[in-house]
Amino acid sequence: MIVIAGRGGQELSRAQRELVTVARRLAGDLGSQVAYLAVGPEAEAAARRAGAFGIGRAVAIELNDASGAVEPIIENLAQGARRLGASVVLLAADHLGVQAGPRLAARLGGSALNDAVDVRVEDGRVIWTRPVFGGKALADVVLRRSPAVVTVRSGAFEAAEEGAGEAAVDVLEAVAVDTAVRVVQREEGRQEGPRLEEARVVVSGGRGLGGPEGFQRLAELAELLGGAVGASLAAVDEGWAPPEWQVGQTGKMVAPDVYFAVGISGASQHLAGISGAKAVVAINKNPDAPIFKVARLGVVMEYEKLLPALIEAVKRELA
Amino acid sequence: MGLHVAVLIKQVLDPEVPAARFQIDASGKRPAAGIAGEVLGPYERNALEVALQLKDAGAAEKVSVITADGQEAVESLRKALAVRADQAVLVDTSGHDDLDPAQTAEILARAVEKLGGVDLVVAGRQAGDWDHGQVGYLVAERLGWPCVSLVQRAELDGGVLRLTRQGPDGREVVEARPPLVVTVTNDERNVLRLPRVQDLMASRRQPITQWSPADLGLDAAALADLAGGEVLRLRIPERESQCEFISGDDPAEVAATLVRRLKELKLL
Amino acid sequence: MTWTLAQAASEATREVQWNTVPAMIWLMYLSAAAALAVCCYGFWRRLRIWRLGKPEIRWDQPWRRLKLVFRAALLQANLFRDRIAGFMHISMYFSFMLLLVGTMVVAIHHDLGIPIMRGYFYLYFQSLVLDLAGVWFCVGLIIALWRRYVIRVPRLEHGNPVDGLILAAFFVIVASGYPVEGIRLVVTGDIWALWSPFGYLTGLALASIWDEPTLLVIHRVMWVAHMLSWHVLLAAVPFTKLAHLVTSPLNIFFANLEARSIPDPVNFEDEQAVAVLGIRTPFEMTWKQLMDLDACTECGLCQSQCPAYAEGKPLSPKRVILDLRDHIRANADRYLAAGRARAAGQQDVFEQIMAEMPPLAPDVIKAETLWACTTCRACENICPVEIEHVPLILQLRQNLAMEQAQMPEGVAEAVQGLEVRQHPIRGATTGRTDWYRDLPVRVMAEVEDPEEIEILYWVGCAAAYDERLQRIARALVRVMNRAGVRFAVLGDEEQCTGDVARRTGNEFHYDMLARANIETLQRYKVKRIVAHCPHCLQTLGSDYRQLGGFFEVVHHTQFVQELIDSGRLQLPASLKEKITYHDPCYLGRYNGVFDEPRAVLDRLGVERVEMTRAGRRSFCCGAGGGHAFFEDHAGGKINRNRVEEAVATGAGTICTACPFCLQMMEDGLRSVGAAEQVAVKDFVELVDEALAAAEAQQEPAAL
Ligand SMILES: Cc1cc2nc3c(=O)[nH]c(=O)nc-3n(C[C@H](O)[C@H](O)[C@H](O)COP(=O)(O)OP(=O)(O)OC[C@H]3O[C@@H](n4cnc5c(N)ncnc54)[C@H](O)[C@@H]3O)c2cc1C
Ligand code: SF4
Ligand code: SF4
Repeated sequence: MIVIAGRGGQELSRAQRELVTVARRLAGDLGSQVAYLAVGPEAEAAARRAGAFGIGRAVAIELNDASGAVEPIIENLAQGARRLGASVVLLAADHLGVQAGPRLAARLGGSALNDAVDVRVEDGRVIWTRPVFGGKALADVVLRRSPAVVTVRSGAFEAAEEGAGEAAVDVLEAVAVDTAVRVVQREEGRQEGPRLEEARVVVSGGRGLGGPEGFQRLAELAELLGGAVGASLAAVDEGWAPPEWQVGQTGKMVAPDVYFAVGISGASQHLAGISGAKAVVAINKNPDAPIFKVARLGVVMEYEKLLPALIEAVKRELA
Repeated sequence: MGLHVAVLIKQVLDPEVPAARFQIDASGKRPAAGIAGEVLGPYERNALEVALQLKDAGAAEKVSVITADGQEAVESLRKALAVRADQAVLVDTSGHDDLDPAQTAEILARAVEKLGGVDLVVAGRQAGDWDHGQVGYLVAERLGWPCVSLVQRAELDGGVLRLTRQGPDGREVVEARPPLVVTVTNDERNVLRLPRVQDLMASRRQPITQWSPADLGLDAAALADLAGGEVLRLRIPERESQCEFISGDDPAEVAATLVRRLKELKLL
Repeated sequence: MTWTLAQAASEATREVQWNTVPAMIWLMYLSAAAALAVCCYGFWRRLRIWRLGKPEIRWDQPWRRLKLVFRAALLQANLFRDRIAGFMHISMYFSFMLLLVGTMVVAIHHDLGIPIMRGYFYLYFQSLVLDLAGVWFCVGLIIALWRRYVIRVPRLEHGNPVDGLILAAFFVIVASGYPVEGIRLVVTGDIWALWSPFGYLTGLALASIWDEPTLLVIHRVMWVAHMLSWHVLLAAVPFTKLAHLVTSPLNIFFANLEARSIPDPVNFEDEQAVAVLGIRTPFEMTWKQLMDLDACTECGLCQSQCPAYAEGKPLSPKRVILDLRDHIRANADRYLAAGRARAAGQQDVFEQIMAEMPPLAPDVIKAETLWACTTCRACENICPVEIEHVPLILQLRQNLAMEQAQMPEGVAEAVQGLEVRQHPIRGATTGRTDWYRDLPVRVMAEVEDPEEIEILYWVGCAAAYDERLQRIARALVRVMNRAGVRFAVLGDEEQCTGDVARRTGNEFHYDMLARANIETLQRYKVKRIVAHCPHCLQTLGSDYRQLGGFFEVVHHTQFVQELIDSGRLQLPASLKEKITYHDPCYLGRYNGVFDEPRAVLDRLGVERVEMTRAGRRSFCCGAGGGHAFFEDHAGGKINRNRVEEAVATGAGTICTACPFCLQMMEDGLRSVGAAEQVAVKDFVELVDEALAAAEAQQEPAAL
């Protein structure tokens, strides 16, 4: 049984729908079934929704734990996975996945793997691919124990389309976990967004922005994409961006999936900070700017024209 | 009585090795020797700093660092001593190559037990080479202790640890009682301090506690049996360095194409 | 008649204590004795402070040293470094010296009873010359007052209010001297009155107002005022900036005759030596460094040249010297007590006293101040009394960096890079040897007979790892190959010279790298090295000597000049560009190379234009002292300042001879928006271009 694990809710998130793709592929190759496991508030709603993705079986564990600790979630995920007889448990490699994956594996007596970006079945063996050494290499890995608890990097797989269907949902009682851990304070909302070094998307601006207003545009785009805003030294020097935003030799080293370089020429000192980026998108009015040498996608246009259109396009995409 | 904090560290291949220089050895399973030096892993540096701050604040009485690795890792243990960790333990695993996270976690958990009296285990969120992100969590499971992940800062307040951590939407503060395992992520406040040169020099003379897996009751067969998985091969991803220009004069059209291409390339 | 007059002239003299009463004379001797005692006491206190410092030999080559003092003190040679101030100083200095000699003549004549104050000597010197000297002094005084209080020259700001009192005392001396002399001339009807024209005029003027009894009273009052103000000044010498009358010549005598601007090495094997790293308290300074503080004339020339100061950064080299001096003076009693305890072997008492004293850095000299220095040497170059700011700043940095583990993040990153990668370049995208993959370059380890290699090319980290700067190395390789130079590189065996580490106070890391490199170079029996990087040039050629590494190192500008001179390289005069040359600090001020690059550029046929600040007075690009590795956000940008000057020459190309300068200039041009119009090239890129162009022209001709 391939189990997709999630936290419940009215909708399946994009990351969850990507897990559906992985699960379908595996189930096809291994000749097994896909099940859905939801642990959290509104677990049952999510479990029912899973039916629309062709998933026939689901377990919902309604968990409303006030402590904020991850322990009860893990313990109930384990309960659900056991109930479903999981051979593979798929989690999104997000905030929960990062902390729950390995521990769930340990509780189920299985093996863990993080950040899968690909999977295939060869001679009945499941071969997982994950980036290692900061993405400088990819490792093909087989896991020895069952279940395999795997977190999947978002964006690595297509998100499955929703169809129609019904899932048989088992609703289980949550097991209570007495934990010594308690969240006592929470910063509301995502005012700061992710930190530069960790962000999967970084939108950086340079001197080409011509003033602090440009950065508001960048912030808007970054927020839409769940990313962080960066800056070139020139922009920091101009006082349009705080020093903590500086990327490069004397600033931060970033390693996002996408790095937008807007009005940045691409001096080597700046490039020094973005060598870990998977892809650079350069937006510059000068077609000869060196930034295009390292860019995956390039647009030669004044940013004032492109950015509003880009923000609209992204909004449409997200909607 | 202050806490006894054990920091789990790892010496890793220099993460700054340029991608163009990265090569794989003949076995096809590891990076080639000599492409770069080795350093104390970046998140382990943050972990060590979190522990040292507890010591600065008088909350911790002793900071021990533990690693499971070959003799070359003494270098990183000394770095930890140079910033005033109190004790350094090397579980010498030479001869047991390519330990996977499950094996490493078992060794480290036993080392923590053997050390005795440890109240808090601090590990990096992931090692900067294989990026597994498992060891700290597995140690917690193995010890049966609760685990708080992605911690940035720790303070002790009347026997209760107040941990500032990266929550799902911004920072949160968690309270927990030892014994406890925490995994650490980086933050502007946990950048590892620099050693004073006098301490650096003194660290060269300090003793390193050396254990073998056998000292921890693990023979080769038992250790091998713990492995959770196996790396079949490493490969170097192809990097497209060609810039694809998106042409056109209409911003809306160009923007739409850009978004589409980003999606096609699985970047968004 | 002529004869009698001549005879009379040969007898000419004057009564010394005219119109005085014994009480006045007693007062004079008493106050003179007291003033002298205070003066000696003051210097003794200074001396005791200097003696707290560590030993250092600064008295070898005494004749050479005396010559320096002579040039500086008697010829005031160092003062031509600023014209108007120089004239002011020369006026006051020489006239003051003359008047002092005059006073001594009176003492010899009267008190010792050796009658020298007579005849033509009396007339020409004692009367005429001194009379004029007084006026000359006034001229200097007026300029000084004008500069300080009217136009308020910035480098004199933060002056001590006492400085004004000194000028006032001088004024009293001059203003009382002329009436004293004049009244005597008029009242006694001195026949030699005309030999003292200004004094006589003063006397006549006074006599036209008052009658004789009044004049006699005025004379007595003025006499006492003149005498007392003199003695007050004398007593004040060691406590005010006048101390430099004594300390400046001393300081010049004890000047550093060796390699300048580098700190003494630290012996890390020696436990005593590493108990305190760098300078934490005055006890880690050498006696000469302590003397430097007292020798400062507060002229502010250093500050006027300092690039960091010019850009509003929190550093003035003058303030560094004076703040340390003031701190030590204010706490002299405690430091002296600590010194006594140490001398008596009471280490615990010493430590107890010192425990209360703050570390000089960052308590007396702020960390931001120390980090702002680019080690450009402009301050030392201009200082008229040979004060050495740079080693002092570096040793204070040493204490911050090594003992307190405090340094800017970029510096820390660079140093960690040195530790694990043997180079300081963050985020390098290539390996050390990738840049010459496609070029004919030999690696020392693969050369069979090292003797056959005439010169080792030291590439340096900047050009090895930075794509733009690799072009410099590639150009030099091409030029050397054209000239048939048998050269080799160390390849992967080359490690950073340690320049960044040393200039940021990370002497420990410098020491490790330097020793490793010396070992490698000695293993290959390298005698001669060429470097395109002035920082490598300085470190390999001068700093390494302190650690026993003696190599002949030339800069590529010198080497190319040599190749031309020996006929191995023929340069076409084909570059018709307008070019301005920027002197890198570590090439010019540090290593005295100013002419070679210019001579070669001229040979290339360029139209060479100079910036206002060129040669010895060149203005730093802002990269030195570790600044290539961290961002100093306080104040403005040094490279911008420099680039504006370069652009103002109208040159189409800025020629540099240092990879870091090149980076700074390119960055500066971008920031002033002139990157499209003005290019930045290294010296050897221009040479290579010209050679390549000439070859391209010849080839079709050959076909
Ligand atoms: C020792 C050292 C360390 C350094 N460290 C760093 C560092 O850590 N980080 C860093 O970023 N820099 C660093 N620099 C500075 C670096 O050399 C560059 O100067 C800097 O990165 C340039 O910033 P920029 O690209 O924003 O500005 P510029 O180079 O001026 O580029 C502006 C770009 O914007 C484009 N543009 C202009 N108007 C528009 C428009 N309307 N729409 C679109 N594009 C437009 C232009 O075509 C140009 O390409 C360092 C420099 C040195 C010497
Ligand atoms: S060396 Fe240069 S930057 Fe440093 S104090 Fe002297 S003049 Fe200023
Ligand atoms: S240090 Fe030298 S240049 Fe600077 S104020 Fe003192 S005497 Fe003048």
